[in-house]
Amino acid sequence: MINKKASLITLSVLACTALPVAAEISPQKMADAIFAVIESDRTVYAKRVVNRLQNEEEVITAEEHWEDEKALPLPAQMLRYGAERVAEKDLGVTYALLSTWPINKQNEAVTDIEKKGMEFIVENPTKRFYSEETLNGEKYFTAVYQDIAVSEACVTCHNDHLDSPRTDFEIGDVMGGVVLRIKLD
Amino acid sequence: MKKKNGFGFLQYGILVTVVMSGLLAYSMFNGDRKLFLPGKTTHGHHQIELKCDTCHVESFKAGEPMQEACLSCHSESLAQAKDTHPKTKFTDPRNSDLLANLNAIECATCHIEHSPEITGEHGVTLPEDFCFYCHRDIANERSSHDGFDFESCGNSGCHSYHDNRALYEKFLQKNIEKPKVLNSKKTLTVNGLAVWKSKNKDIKPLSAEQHDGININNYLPLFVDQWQDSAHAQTGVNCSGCHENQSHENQSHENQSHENQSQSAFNTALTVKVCSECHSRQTDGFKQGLHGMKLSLGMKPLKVLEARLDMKSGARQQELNCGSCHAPHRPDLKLAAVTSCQGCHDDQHSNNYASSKHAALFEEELSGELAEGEGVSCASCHMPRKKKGKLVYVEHNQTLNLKPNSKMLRTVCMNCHGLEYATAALADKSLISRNFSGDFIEEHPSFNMVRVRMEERRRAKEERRRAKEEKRHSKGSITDNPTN
Repeated sequence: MINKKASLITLSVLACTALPVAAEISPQKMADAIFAVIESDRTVYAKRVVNRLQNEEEVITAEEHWEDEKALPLPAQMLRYGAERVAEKDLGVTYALLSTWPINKQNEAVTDIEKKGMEFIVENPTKRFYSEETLNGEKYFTAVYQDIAVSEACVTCHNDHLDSPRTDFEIGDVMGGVVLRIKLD
Repeated sequence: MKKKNGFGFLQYGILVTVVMSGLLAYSMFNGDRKLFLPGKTTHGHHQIELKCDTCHVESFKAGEPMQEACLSCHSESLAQAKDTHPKTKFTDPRNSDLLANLNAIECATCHIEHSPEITGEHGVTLPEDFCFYCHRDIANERSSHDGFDFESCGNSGCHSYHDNRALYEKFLQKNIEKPKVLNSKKTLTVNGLAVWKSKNKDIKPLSAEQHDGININNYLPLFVDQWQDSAHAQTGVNCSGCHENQSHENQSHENQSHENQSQSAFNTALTVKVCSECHSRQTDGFKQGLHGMKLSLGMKPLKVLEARLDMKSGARQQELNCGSCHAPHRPDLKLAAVTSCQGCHDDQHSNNYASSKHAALFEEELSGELAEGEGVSCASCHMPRKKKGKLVYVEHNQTLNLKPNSKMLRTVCMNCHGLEYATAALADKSLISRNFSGDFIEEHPSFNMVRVRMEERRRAKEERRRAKEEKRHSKGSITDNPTN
C-alpha cells in the first residue's frame, strides 16, 4: 500500500552489507516494475514454452480447457492465474487482463477509469495510462498497459470465437489491456 | 393491607434464574448442548451440530472468523471442483459493485446455518434466483437465455455455482452426439493389491498354519478359514497385524469418544484407526464424507438412528466404521458394494435398485457373465473408482460425488453413457427415485442450445472464409489490372 499524501513510499531494504537502506519509489514506478515482471513472464512462457512446444516441435497444444485436453494453459490464462495468486496474498496489489472486445463480457472495462484507460491505450498504442480512482471507499493508483497480439494463436482464437465482438485482429494490434491497481493509504 | 410473607417477585425471580442457569450450565458442560441450538441444522452439518466449536471457533463473538472454519473442511473439495466463483473473483476492487450486491467472499452469505425456514437445496439460504444479482443481463449476451427464470439457473444439467466441470459449453460440445450406452461401458478396476504386490515382491503370502491369532479373545477357527483366502493373508498381514493394535494407548483415545463400545475383542471404532495404518487413502475419504465425518472431529461414530435419511429400523443401532460395510476377516469388495448399503438405506432409490437394469448387470458380473467393472453396484456410482498414477482405488468420501448430482457425470455416468442421456437422467427426480427404471425424456435443453451454437459457429466460420477469399480475389484483380 502506498501513502497517497506523499505519493511515495519508503521501503526498508536490506543491502548486501545487511545494513538497512532507506529508498523511495513512486506508485507509478512500482506499477511499471510489477507490469514489467508480469509482461516478461508471460512473453517468456508464450515464446519459450507455448510457441516452441505447440508450433515448432508440435508435441502439445495450448488450450483453454487444458486440463481436460491434456494441453498447456494459454498465455493469457497464465497471467490470470498469477493475478489470482497475488490477490490471495492480499497485498493491496491487483491486476486483470481486460479488453474493449472481450470474449467473456466479465472482462470488459467496468469502472470509469478502466473505460478511459482502455480508450486511451487503444488510441495511443505507445503510451501508458495512469490515474487514481476510489472504489468501494478505497483509493487506488490505477495503471493501464497495452496487451499486444504477439502470436498467431492469439489472433486466430479471438477472430474465430463465436462470442468475440471483433474478428479482424492482426499480429501487433492492441487486443486489450492489463489494468494494475495499487491500494493507497 | 396484607403483609408480605417474605417470598415475593424478587425471590421467585432469583429462584427461576438460578434453576435456569443450572439447567443451561448442565446442558453445556454435562448434557448434550441441544438447548443451545438456535435452529435445526442442515443435512450436511447435523451430525456435528453439538460440537459447536467446529464452526464457532471464537465463542460467538461478533465478526468471528467462521470463514476459516468453513474452509478447514471444505477448501479441498472446492479446489477439486475448480470452483467457478472463487473468493479472488470478488476481492478484486473492480468487482466491488458485485460485492455490494452479494458478499460472495464468505460462505455464510449463502449458507446460513440453523435457519431451516429459508434453507433450500444444497444448504443454500438465499432465494433460488440469486444468480440475478450479478447475471441479470445474461439474455443480452446469450439470446438463448431470453425468458428463462433465474430460479432455473441451477437446474440439473444447466449451471452450478461452484462445480461446472461437466457443464461448460465446450465439454458439452465435445460429448454431444455420444450414444445412450457406450460400447466400452466399464468402470475402472481396482488394482490396489496388484500394485502393492509389484512393490513388495519379497513379502510371501501366509498360509492358515502360519496364523498367530490363537490367543486372541473370541478366536474362532472360522476366522482363520476366511482370512487364509483374503488379501490380508496374501500380503503377509497376520492376525496380530490388526489385533495387536488394541493396545491401551490406542484404546484410550477411543474410550473418550466411544462409550458404548462393544465387548468384542475388536471394538468398532478402533477398526478405522487400525485400518488406516494400511488403507489411509480409504479411511481419510471415509472420515471426510457423511459416513465418517464425526470420527474426524474425535466424536463418537455415527449411529444409523442419527441419520436423517430413511433407514431400516433393524439397523438403527448400527455404528458406521470400516467393519460396517467390510467383513473384517474376509474383505469382500462386492459385499461392500451393495449388500452393506442395503442393510441400512431404506429410501425409494435404494429399494428400487434390486429391480433395476444396473442391478441385473451387477448380478451378471457376479456370475461371471460380464467382466469385472461391467456391472453397476451402489458403490459404482456412490463410491467411484479413481485413478492416481497407476493405482486405481475406491473414493470413500461419497459426499464428493453426491450433490449437485451433476458431479457424478464425469466420475461415474460417462463411464457407460453418453453425456446428454446421462444429464437428462440426472435431471429427472422421478427417474432417480425409480433407480433409473422406466422411460424418461432422453434429451436435455442445454444440448439443444449447444447444437444451435455449433451451427452458428459453423456459419460464422464459413462467412469469414468467404470474406477472406473475396478480399484475396479483389486484391488479385487489382494487381492483374495494368491500368491500376
